[in-house]
Amino acid sequence: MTAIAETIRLPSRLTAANSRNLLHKCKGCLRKGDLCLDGTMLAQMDYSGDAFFSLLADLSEKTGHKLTLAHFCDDIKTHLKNLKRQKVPAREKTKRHFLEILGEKGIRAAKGTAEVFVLLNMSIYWSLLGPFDKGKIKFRGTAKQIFALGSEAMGICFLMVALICFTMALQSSFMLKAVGGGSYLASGLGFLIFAEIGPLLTTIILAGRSGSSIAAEIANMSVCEEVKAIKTMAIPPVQYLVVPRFIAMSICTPILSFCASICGCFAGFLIAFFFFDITFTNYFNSIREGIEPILFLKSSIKALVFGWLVTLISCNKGLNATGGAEAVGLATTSSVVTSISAIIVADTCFGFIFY
Amino acid sequence: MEVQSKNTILRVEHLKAGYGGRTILNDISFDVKKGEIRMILGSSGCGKSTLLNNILKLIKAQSGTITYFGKTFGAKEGLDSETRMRTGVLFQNGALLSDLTVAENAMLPLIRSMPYMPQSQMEAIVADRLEKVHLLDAFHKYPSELSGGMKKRAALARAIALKPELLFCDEPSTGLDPVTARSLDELLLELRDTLGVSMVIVSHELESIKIICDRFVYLQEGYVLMDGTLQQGLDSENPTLWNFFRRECPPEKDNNEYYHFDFLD
Repeated sequence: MTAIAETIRLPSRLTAANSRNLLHKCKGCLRKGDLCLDGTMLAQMDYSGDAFFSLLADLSEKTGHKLTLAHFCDDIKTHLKNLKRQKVPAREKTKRHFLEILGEKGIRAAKGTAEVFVLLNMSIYWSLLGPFDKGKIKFRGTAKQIFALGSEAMGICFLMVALICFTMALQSSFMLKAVGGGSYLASGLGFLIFAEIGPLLTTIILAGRSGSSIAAEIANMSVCEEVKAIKTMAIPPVQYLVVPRFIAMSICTPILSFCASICGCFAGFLIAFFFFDITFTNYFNSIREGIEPILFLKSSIKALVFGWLVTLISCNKGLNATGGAEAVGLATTSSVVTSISAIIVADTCFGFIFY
Repeated sequence: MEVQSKNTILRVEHLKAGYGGRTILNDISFDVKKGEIRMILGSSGCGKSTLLNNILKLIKAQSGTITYFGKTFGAKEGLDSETRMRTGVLFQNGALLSDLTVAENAMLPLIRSMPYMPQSQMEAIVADRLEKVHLLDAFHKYPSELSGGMKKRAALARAIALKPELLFCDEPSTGLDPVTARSLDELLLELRDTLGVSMVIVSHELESIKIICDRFVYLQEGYVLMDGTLQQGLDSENPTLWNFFRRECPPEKDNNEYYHFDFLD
């Protein structure tokens, strides 16, 4: 028994706004049986009309149910007779094995690490050789970078370290008060600030502030072919782009870390003064007793290495950026994440070596 | 082995290159003679810029050799400083360093090649080059203060700072209005005539090609379709070249399938 064709009357204008519900209704009918579209009133259709009729024609072929167009005007009839069958290309599905993805990520990480070491090697070479290289480009390179990467980051570094040290001192004060160990606050805090908080926090802030700026600037230069232009002028990009930033960060990071640690000590003093009535002289004498002079050297070395990590990772991410604006964003994000991870890994290693 | 003419300053032989595992250029060979303007032509995406980057050794080729001024470089070799200083490059968007002024940008190759030269002498040379490209007024300006055409002229001044023997230009007139594009073309001709510089120009601007081209290489799907003079290209009956030089679209093949509807009156 053949099903009786259902008839749906089309409106005078078939538009994107009304075709959605209509298509849904027509598809429902066509799935059940034959369909007749009555186009007596249909006089106009917009850009969505072609897709409407082709989808119904496709469904008709798929289900085997007949689609009839009745009483259509000549213009639309002619138009539909020339309606091309559009094939939407299928998306290529490349299913990759978990191990393959893991291996690729591992190779990429190893390659990135090797590149950072090569960059370190070249930076040290050019930093030492730079003063003797007469062809060095001198346009305010290092001084400008010291100002941009170091001086301008001063405020945020000092403030953040001071606030965290203040909170730390406050938290530990409750515990020390309970056990009557208020006098140990200064020495304990001083050691912790110079050994850990100062270098670690300063460089993490620098990774977010200065590292991202390095990566974005160099990535933008890579994308805009400026790095290529530098290469074609026989100027090593490392000498022009990396070395000024490397020297600037080598100078700035230990100084910033030391000054930020002092700020942290002052923040701790506020707690010592208000909670334990420790005077300024006693507080700093106590800090002096808790810290050996070698700690300053260790702290500076840590800060220097962390600073190098931030600079070299950011420069490497920037130099490897390819594509458009998206590549700049990716390089920036990646540089911050990688720098912070590398700093924390390096800090753990220093923990075993130094203390 | 083919004897290389003394007049040949650049020779590309059997160059095969691509990105990752994908080959984009296959067996590309051509040469550039002294004082000639050699153009690399082809439709978008045919590998013109890839070829230029390979010739400049900005990316490593898979195989083939490139000979600059009689010195041959293998596929994996980079160019030495001496060769780089004998060439100049004008990039598509100028690629001026944004933190340097126009003069400082043009001074970069001079500092690299002649480190002992006094600043005043460098400034005089740069002023001369900027005057050649009619941009002396922009001496102290930053790239952000220049228009698109001015940026290209400033980049050209930087490219010719060392009076190179070979100048590479990547789509010099693309994105410029017809008048500025025409003046840039005339500037390139003037530089060829006054400085005797040979040029390799990547372009698909027909107007420019007709004005400045001496010989061309036409790339199609990674291969050299034709290597010849402009006149040979214009006379060619090859359908691709015919369409390219006459700006005609190839007739569309009707391979389309049409829907069949049942109409009821």
